[in-house]
Amino acid sequence: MAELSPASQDQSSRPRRFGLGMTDARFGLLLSLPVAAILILLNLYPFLYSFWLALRDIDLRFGIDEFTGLDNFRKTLESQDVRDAMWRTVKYSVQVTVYSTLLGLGMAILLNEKFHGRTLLTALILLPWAVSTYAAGIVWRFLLSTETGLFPAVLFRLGITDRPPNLMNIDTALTWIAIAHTWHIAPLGVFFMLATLQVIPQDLYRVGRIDKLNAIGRFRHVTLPYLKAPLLIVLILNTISAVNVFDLIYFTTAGGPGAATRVMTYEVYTTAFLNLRLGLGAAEAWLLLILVILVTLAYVRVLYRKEKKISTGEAAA
Amino acid sequence: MSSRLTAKRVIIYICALLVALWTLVPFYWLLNLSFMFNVEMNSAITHFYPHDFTWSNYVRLFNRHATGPGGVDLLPIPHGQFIRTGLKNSLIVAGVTTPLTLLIAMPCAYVLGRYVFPFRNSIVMAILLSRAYPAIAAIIPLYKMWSSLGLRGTHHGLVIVYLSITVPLVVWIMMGFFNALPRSLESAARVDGCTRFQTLYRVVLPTSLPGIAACAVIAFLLVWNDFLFAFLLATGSSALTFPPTLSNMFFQYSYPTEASAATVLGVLPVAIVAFVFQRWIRKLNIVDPL
Repeated sequence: MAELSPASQDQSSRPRRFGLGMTDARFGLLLSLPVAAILILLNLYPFLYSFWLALRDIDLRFGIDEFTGLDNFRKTLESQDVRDAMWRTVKYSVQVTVYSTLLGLGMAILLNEKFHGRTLLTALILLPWAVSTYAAGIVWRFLLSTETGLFPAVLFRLGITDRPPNLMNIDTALTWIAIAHTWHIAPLGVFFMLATLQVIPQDLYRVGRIDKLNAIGRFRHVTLPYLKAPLLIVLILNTISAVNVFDLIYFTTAGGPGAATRVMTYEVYTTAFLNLRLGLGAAEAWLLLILVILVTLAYVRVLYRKEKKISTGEAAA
Repeated sequence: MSSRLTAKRVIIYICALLVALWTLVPFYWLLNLSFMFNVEMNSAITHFYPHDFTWSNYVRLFNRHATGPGGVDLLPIPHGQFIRTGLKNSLIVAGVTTPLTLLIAMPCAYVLGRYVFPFRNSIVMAILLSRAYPAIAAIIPLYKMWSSLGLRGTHHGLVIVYLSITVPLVVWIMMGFFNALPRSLESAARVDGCTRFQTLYRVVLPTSLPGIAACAVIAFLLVWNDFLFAFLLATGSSALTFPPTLSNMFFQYSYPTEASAATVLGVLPVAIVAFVFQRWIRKLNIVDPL
């Protein structure tokens, strides 16, 4: 980021037409003031305020609101429900990340080939990403339900099984929601990876052929090194999206059957907005936040390493 | 060699077909249900296409009667009025949030992408972190704040909340966009005597229109598609947007055929917009923790 040098340094000796000595510093500060205000008032302040809330026992039903120190955090860490929910979030995120990254990679490789209808298909695969997660939830509920479902109907007609997959099965519900999530989020990965695939010099593949590399070898030694940076970013974007899942669960299973799909976001929602214990909910949300921050830090590291690589590459060229 | 090439082409087309099916079949199924009568949906064998095609589920959402199979009179869907209000509210909230977002975000994105100034890196870092703040964690303090400020269940209350999501995202996207613009135009403008402000709104912004339009689409989609904030901050009010209204209908009042029709109403406009603008959106090369 440091290489974004000011464009107008060389003009600093020019007489200024605007106002009282408008400098780059003042211009920059002035124009970013509204955004800084939004970040402070609507992101930073709520962020700190949520910590203050987590230190209080708040029960909106009985109008309780008193300072209890770290008691909410102790309860959160000791709660078996929270532990189970965290474990489900991890299981869910790993599934979504693996499925959607692999699918995104596969679709990107496919769309990088030349075939009739490629432009149309590239535009079409964006659609699941443009519809919201709640709509994805409704659509997949209709696909899977025994009453209205396409999948049960097809499996039944073909005589494959009369006990089709559905969202009411404790063992498979979470996986099916992960598949619905994959349908929604995988196109985002195609974005990044396709952009990168298109700039790999074709000469490298020719060299690979001369070196007698087969398709897998060419993928490993030519494609993958280029794809490393976008692939890592996609992995982390998919993970964050999966950790933050809420609408999809709400519209498909609402945490059920039993507690099979009660992930951490749903646990926070239940505590804060169904049981109306805002303080305890805030404490649970902090646990989720720590998980997301860990993933984001990894993201920042990857991004900055990538930028460094690009800038040194430019210096070399 | 040529047979191997042919085999490769066949595999490519099969994969393309599978990808198209995977992408489109869920949409097809939603449309299929929305064009059926309840009677047909409830029949013992699931139909893969509507044997008795009908617009009745859509018509009945707009407070009209329809004629069912065998001349049965079908009443308007009672929840239709809420769906219509929801669509209107979504349009208002997204329509107000989008231009405000652009107005606030563009100047900031420009200076972040072009200039070095105090706190620049702090702002960039804050934007990045804000993008990763889980919605469910952000909403607890906001709920408390909005309750005491009287902003719960109001249009402007929702607009302010959505600005906190759309502005950082658009700044983040456009920062890279402005940084990648060639500097020669700006230098020329400055040499010709434009101030920094004039350079921005006479030279930079007009040349960035495709990027700005794509950001407008993204901001609009983000607000239009949001369920959680509206659900928790506007439930029970007259400002309720479409998604939570749909969830009420979905869980309480409707047959799947009717809920499908309502879902299509909410999804179709944004799907068309996204499809039309996808080329511009793809050009932005977004790197964002959505």
